Amino acid sequence: MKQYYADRHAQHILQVVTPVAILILILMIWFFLSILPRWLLWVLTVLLGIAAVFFALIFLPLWFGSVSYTVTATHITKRSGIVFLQEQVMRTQALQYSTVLRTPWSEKTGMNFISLHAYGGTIYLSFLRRSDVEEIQAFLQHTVYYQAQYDVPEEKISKELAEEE
Amino acid sequence: MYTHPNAVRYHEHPIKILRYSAKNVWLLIFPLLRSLRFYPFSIQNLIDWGKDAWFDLLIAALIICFSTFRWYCCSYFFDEDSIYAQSGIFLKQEIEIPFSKIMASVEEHPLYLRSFHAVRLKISTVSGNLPESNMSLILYDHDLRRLRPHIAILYGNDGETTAYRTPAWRVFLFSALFSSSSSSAIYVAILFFQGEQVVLELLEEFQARELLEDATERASAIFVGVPRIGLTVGIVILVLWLLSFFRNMLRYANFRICFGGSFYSIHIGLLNRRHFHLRETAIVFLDLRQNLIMKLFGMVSLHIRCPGYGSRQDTLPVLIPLVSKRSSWEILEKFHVSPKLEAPIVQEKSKLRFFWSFVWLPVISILVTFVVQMIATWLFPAFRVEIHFFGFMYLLPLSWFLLVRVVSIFHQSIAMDQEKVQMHFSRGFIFHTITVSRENIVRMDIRQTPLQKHYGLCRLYLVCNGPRQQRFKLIALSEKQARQMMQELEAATSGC
Repeated sequence: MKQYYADRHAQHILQVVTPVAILILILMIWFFLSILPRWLLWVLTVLLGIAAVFFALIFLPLWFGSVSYTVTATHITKRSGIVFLQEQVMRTQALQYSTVLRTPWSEKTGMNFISLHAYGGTIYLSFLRRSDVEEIQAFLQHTVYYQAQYDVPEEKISKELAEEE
Repeated sequence: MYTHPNAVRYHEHPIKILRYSAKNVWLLIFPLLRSLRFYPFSIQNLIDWGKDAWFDLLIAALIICFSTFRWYCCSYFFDEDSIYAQSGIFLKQEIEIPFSKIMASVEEHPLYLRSFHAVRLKISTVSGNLPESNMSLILYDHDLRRLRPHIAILYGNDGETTAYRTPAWRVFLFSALFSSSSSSAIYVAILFFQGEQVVLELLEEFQARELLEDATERASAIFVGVPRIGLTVGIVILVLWLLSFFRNMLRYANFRICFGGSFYSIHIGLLNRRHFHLRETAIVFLDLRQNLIMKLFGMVSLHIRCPGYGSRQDTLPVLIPLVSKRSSWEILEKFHVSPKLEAPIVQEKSKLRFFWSFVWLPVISILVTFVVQMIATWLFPAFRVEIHFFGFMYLLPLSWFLLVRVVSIFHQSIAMDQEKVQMHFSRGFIFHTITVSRENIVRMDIRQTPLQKHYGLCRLYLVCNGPRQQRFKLIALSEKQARQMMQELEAATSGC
């Protein structure tokens, strides 16, 4: 059993990116929606500013602190949530296939995501370190993916491969 | 990424570049071609055309360059256990599918790919969060041959194989019986949605509006007294039905199925040849479908529920297109299913005295249509002929529906033994006979109106496993029997 946590680098990046994105949004509102009354534009600006501060300084640290993933040979568990705690459990053997998504320079930013698709549902493991992603993939390969399909007769395969060559 | 150290990366067939750039390049091709056709062909005229169209040409070249780069960034590879597909330029996505989890695969050989020695391979697992497949690759023929020995499901059967071929006349009949204007309407709508500009250009090229007006004109000379709007609607419906019919003909022609071992292979299609490979354990249930005409002639169509097969909206999950009822029993035995459960522990048939539960919907719909027709005629007397025509046209399918529901009273039943549940029921205009293993039933609901409660009746809903969970409804069943069935299922689950 091993427990994984969200990469704090991703949190720091999001804490920088969020206020910048909201600042751009505010500028766009002032530029494109200048026909609106001035008091309404100020209200929108203040609301977005509060949202940016709340998201960057309160929500993100709390969420990154709460999220954890446990991968064992029997179950994959995701725990997250700030006020309402959420726990998602998937049977490891029910896993069908996986998708890894990574952004450029993800080894530095921690922007690595794994979707684990099972019969009837999907669990998303977000903001993982690159090394953690590789470790989880290797673990799944050794515990779930390594299963005999059915015995294709050896001579048939070698004949087919010989024909190919 | 964690991959096998010796894994060799392959690129998909370069024809995929066209797919990446298809929609954008198509938008430019029509304006370019239109300006080209005004000129007689000569070098000077070509240069003149190039001077006018240089910007469009530059954009088209940029689109193709970007698509080529995107194609270069995409690759696939495999090791002993899994197949991987990588895509994306900046945002990299890697899909890993273990060979042991592949439940269905499709090899598609459309006409345009065959000439480039290319094949489209689609791979599906039972995880049905994508409608079509979990991985789709366009490969060289020789790359597919290289991949084949590593994936058991592509490699074929491990035991004795028997083949079943459907004669051409049965495919013709099947296409006629299962074609519908609505499916074509959906297809045309998707076409419009995906390539609005291209489709509009094409319609303009072929002068579709003029053709429709001309056809209406000719039809009005034959069908005297029928309103023009009715004829136009009729022609559109007929054209859509014919479109659906020809698509079905092309799709299901050369139908062949091979049974044996752990896998089934289905080969279908004329222009787009498709080879489906299905794992036996992936089949959720078998479904014998009939419409009223097929029921009269004792013919059935065998469908299955299986991830990766027939999961597209426009494709039927058909296993045998059209076969006589007696012959279907032999095929069912190959799937270890008997046409009738030998020793059912619970069995229930619909009763004639509860006929109203079956026929209330069409009867009320017919009455409402009559009332609406009368009110509309009273309000708009100038449109009397049109209102009567459309009212009549609407009554035809409703009367057919009523007939189906009446037959359904004698058809509907459910039986359960130690392993399977078999149900006969109608849904819309189609009669179904579904045989499903008990472990593939994920939910059972009982619903009652106060009147049904009084008579000890209920509606029974069964939800089956599958890529999309599907619910089947049986009406006017005895509550006692339904509850017994529920208890049996519960007992089996708790026993596990």
